Formats: sequence, structure tokens, C-alpha cells
Amino acid sequence: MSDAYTPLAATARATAFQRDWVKRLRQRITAGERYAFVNADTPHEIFHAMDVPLVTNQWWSAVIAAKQLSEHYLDRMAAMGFHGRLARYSSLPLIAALDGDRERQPWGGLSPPAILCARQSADDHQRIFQLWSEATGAPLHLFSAPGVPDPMPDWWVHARCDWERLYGSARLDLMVAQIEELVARLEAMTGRAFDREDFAGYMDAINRQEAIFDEVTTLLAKAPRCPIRIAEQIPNVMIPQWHRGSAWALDHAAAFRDEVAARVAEGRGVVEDERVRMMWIGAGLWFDTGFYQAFEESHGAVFAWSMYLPFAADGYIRHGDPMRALAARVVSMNEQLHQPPWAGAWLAREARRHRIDLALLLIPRHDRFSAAGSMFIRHALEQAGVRVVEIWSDMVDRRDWDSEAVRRAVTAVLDEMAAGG
Amino acid sequence: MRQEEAREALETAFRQRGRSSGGTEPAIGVFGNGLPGALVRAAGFLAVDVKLPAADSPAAAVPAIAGFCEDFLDDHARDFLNRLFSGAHDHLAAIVFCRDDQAAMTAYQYAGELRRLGHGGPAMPRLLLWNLVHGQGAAIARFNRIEAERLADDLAALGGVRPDADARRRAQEAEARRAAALTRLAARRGADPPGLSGGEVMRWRNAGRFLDAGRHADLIEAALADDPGVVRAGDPTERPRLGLVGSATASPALYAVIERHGSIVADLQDFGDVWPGAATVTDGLDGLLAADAEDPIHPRGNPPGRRLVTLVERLRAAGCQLVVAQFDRNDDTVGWELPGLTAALARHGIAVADLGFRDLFPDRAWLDNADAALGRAVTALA
Repeated sequence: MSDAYTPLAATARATAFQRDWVKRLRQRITAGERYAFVNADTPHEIFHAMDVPLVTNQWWSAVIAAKQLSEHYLDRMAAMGFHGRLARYSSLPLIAALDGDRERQPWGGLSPPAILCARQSADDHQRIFQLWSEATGAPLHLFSAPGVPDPMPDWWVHARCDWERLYGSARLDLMVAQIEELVARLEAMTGRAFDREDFAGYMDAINRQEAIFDEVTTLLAKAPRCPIRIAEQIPNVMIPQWHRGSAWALDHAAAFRDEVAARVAEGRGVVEDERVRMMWIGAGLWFDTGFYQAFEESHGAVFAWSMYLPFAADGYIRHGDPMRALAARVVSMNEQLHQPPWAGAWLAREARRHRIDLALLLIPRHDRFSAAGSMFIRHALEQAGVRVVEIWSDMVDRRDWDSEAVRRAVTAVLDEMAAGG
Repeated sequence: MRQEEAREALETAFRQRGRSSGGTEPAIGVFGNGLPGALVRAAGFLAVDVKLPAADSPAAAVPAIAGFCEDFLDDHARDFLNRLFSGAHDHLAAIVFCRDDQAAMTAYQYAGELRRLGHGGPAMPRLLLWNLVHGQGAAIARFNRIEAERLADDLAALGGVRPDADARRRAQEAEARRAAALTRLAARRGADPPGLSGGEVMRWRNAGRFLDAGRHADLIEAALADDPGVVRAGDPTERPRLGLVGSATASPALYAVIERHGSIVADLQDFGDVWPGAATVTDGLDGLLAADAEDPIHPRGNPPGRRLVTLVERLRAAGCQLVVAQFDRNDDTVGWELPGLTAALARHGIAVADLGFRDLFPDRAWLDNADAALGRAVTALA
């Protein structure tokens, strides 16, 4: 049973690498090196290519939550006059910055960034980043986010090669132009030239890395039993994704794949008697990752799926002209994960190929961009024969998280399924 | 036309919200702000709003779609979806959703997905997305021109005409005439003492969402003809000058409560003075699109900092003493502005009364609380 579960060697290596890397990043930033503070759905590749350190808004939010600071900052948010129905995941770092008490913050607080970058995928992103810009004096680079008319539900079929038709040439032209504007800004900021030949090689390396993750996804989907916990799956994908295209990331992705393949070949599983396969839909539950193991012993129920691994392939592999391929990667990135018809269709396909029985659907009501369309997702999953439990909570606000109540709700459904319901 | 007839025609157009226009010309629904009306008119269609609720109470819920509409959904989107899937808009050739309007993208996505899932009848109008990107620069201008051409193709395919430059110019001239009339309307409200109430101006302005621009301009001009101003009980000069900001509202009940305590002289929410956007006749299609794309007060304008500056400038210019803020119960956007706006206005000696969250149709209890809160805020001014 789960007592015998042995963590992957890759996990320790990934977390050790990230710990060292974060330490170096912190040293660079606290030493006064100019860095970028960016939203998750922006073209990080450009910052990496220009060797500009970056801190991602949602990651920093998770760090704050993991340090058990979210309650403090959400209280401060109210005290500053921001009403309680505004987004939390995207705004915790802003509130920490506005609060100004750096001693309380992780790393002793972030120094003002040299540049801010966001995409107007949600109406509030530009406001959050504008407030940050006003508070720090950092310039804000905003990417437009026009919508896709008549979107094709099966986006993942077209996204790797046929992205011109999927996303529309006009949208891609605009995104390319705005990425080029970012390049020019970073060249002016750093005094360094953007090397297009290197960038092409870098983009190719990212595609190769994501192809490895595609292999891992297929391995996990086809394995008779789920061989690794998602609490391990997530860092083994997210950390290399952070460093995507680097030699370390490619090596790590391959090592992770090989270790998973070996477990599959040996017939190992997270639990011996796997009875229920679950998927976790939404961002990681950053303040209660132990939840992911909660039903292994009692019900033989394992979390076999989280979005980060399969999205590494479907959301990132883009063949073609490097700059335009990058535009295709980011031009609808978040929309594919959250909005109809894309999110429901993709999640149903993922549920089918991973033989999912039960989905836990995180619905953060105060993060409408992430939460909108949840009932369409539920419908798509149910049409695919998957039971769904809605979890109305926020990924960084433990005030909304009643651990016992959620466990009871999931347990009730698992009991019902065990009884043949 | 006599002044009273014009005023009654405007009140009727606002009250009926396009339900019985009596006209026979083909109509296109428009959800949200940001579509230059001249583009629709030049293609031979009458543009009629579908975001404003059709009455002063919610549309009846459609059971088949209720389960898809989460409780945090924008209330305008929810009300529209209930109307759409009950067939209330089946007479329209199409509905154009303005992507940069706060509720429109959700309304478009939900409507499209519900239809893909088999909901709605065969007469449901086509759903078109209008992507006018807000910002400046050649890339955005190029993108917006392509979008305008795509819209023109779609409207032509629906039986409209492909507008030439003359047709577009005529439509722009009508829009410019409407804009001039609305400027006069707002000026009458902003006079000292105000000649019209904020509620009247809101209703007469939004009546135009269901009228041809030229007709709307004629009605406004007639309604304002030789009007020395409406004399109200008490001395109007004693009434505080109020601004209105926050989430989109066209609730006559809300306006009535607010104007018990003063005169709304600047209305800067989405159903206020910001519609119908910029009007230009000088620079053809590119100028028309750029005027809207660069509108500094648009909620998705870029650079975004211009919006707050513009809000403060307009509230100051109108001589506001108190600014009333109110928020949709599911607001996730304009609430970010309130602390900054409050601080900026305070530097100019302008107070803010935050009425908090409200339903799309505020009930009596909410209105009574708002009434009391405004009473306290006005007392504090003294």
C-alpha cells in the first residue's frame, strides 16, 4: 500500500536543483540585478534568451501561500480598500509589495523589478500590474489578448503544427509584433542584442523537452496502475518547465521519463489495489499538498492526473518559425486551460485516455478567469463517464479551505462508487 | 417635433429596449461597448443593444441552461443568456460581442458553447466576436483594420451591403451628430444649476442604443430645444454635485436614490457618458478605429494608467463634490481602482461614498441602505 511508496530519485534532484537555483536568483536580485516580474501566460522564453532573471507572479503567490502568509496579506488587501471579491492568486504578490513590510515577506521581500509583463487575458491583470507599476516605477509591457472567433474545440490536435489556422493569422501577427516590442525593450534595458540564431536553437530544445514529457504522459496514461504520485509529477514537470530548453531541463526530463518507464515496466503502482483513478483539475493546492495522498489507503484511490504534465506537450510544442511559434504558444495559453469550448474538450480527452473515474474540480469563485466555464467542464467530463466533485476554494487562500469537509465530500463519493453507485 | 414628444419618444425607446421599435429594417444585436456604430449602419443594419436588461427585473431563468451559469457569472451575461435561450433575440440577424467589454467575452463563450451543446432553436442569431484591441501603435491599428474587414464580410454575408467610403462617411456623420447632441445633453446636466437629472440623461442617452444615430440625434436636439432647465423642488444650487463610477448600471431605481441627495453631473460607468465612444468623420476607417482604440477611459485601455487620470480629470471638471461608487456583486475588475481613485480625489477635496456590492436589480432593502449611506456622506460634506 502507500506506506511502501518510494519517491522518485528525480524528485529529490529537481527540488535540490530548484533550491539552489532559487538561492542564486535571490542572490542576483538582492544584489541589485535587474529582473522581470511577469505573469505566467507571457513569453518567458524571451526573458530567458536575454538572460534577464524573472519572477513569475503566480509562483511568487504560491511561495507566499506556502509560507502561510496569505491570510495576513488578504487581510491587508481589505484594509487597503480592495473589496473581497477580487482575485487572490494573481494579486497576493501585489498586496505584499504595497504592504511594504519586507521583513515579513519571503526572501525579505522583492526589490522593485526592472520591468513588469502581463497579458490582458483577464480584465484584472492589467489593473493589478498597473498598480504594481505605479508603486515601483517599473515599466509595464502589456500583451493584448483578442479572442478567437468560433474556436475549434479540439485545439490540441491543431496546436503543434496547424496553429496558424487554429489561432488566426491576425492574432499571431499582433502577438509577434508585441513580442518584438518586448525584445527591443529588453535590448535597451540590458544593452545586449537578441541573438535570433541562439533563440531558434533554444525553441527547438524546448520542443524536444516537451516531446519527452509527451512520452511520459503516454506512459502514465497507458500504465495499468498509476506508478507515481502527482505530488511528484508536478515538481518533475514544473521545475524543468521553469528552465525549459536548458541542458539541465532536457536531461532531467529524460531521467524522469526513464524512471517512470522503469516503474511501469516493473508493474509498480502507488497503491497495490488501485480501484479509483482521480484527476485534479486546477492549479496546485499549494498549502495542503498532503491532500493528494488522502484517499490511497482508504479507497485505493490515486490522483493519476494533473494538468502540468500533459499541458507541457499540448500547450508548448509548436513547430515552425521560432518567433511565430512562440506567439502561437502564448497567444491562447490560459484560455485553453480554462475557457469553453477548449478546456472541457481537452479535459474530457485527457480523462478518457487516463481512464479517470473521478475528477476533483477546483473552482476559485474569486478568480473568475480561472473559474468561468467550470460547469461546462463538469458537463464534458460527465459526458465522458467521469464523476465530478466540485471544490469551491482558492489555491492560495486557506480561509476558504475546509480540509475535513472536502475530505468528507470526496469520501462520500468514493464510498458510493465502491458500493457500485 | 415638439419638445415633450421628443422626450416621450426617448423615454419610450429606453423603456421598450428595442422590443417594439415598429421598424422593418434588419437589426444586429450588440453586446457591450466598443463597436463603432457606423460600421454596422454603413452595412445596412440597425444596431440594437442586447446587454441592457430588457426590463427592470431579471429575465426568467431558462432551466436548460441554468446549470451552466455559475453564481459568480457576470449578471449582465446571465440575464442576456436567459433572454437569448428563451428566443427573445431571434429576430436579430446576428449578435456582435465586443471582446473588450467586461461581460461580453463571457457572454460570447457561454452562448457559443451552449449552442454547440444543442441548446437554442434554429432561429437563434449568429454570434460574432468583435475584437477591437485597445492601445496604440501600428500593429494594433493593423489588427483592428483586419477585424473591421472581417466584420464587414460577416455582415455582408448576412444580407447587408459591403460599405464603400461614402456609406461609411454618411454613417460617421450621423454618429458625429449624435455625439454632438449627447455632448449638449451632458452639458445641460452639468450646468449650474443642473438643467436635467442624471437619471434623465442616462435614460435618454441609452435610448440611443435602440435607435438609428440620426434619429437619436434629432430626438435629443428636440428634447433640449429652448429648455431653460427643469425647475426642481428646493434650490438646485444647494444640491451637491455628484459623480457616478463603478460597475455598469442603468437602474432607474438606483439613480433615483442617488439623486435624492444631489445631482449626478458626471456619469462614468459603462452605461453613462462613455457610450457611444469617440466619433470622428475626418480620417476614414483607420481614424474611426483609432479613436475607439485609444479611448483613455476604456477599462482595457493601454497604457492602463491613463484611465484613472482621465476619471479624476472628468470628475474634477464636472465640479463633483462627492463621487458615488457601486459594484456589481461579482465585480473582479473596477474594484481594483477604488483605493487609488479615492486617494486621488481626496487630494482634490472630493469625497467618495462606496455603496458596495449590489444586485443587477437592487432590492428595496439595498436601496434603503444606500439612501442612508448617501445621507451620511452628504452630511459629512458640510
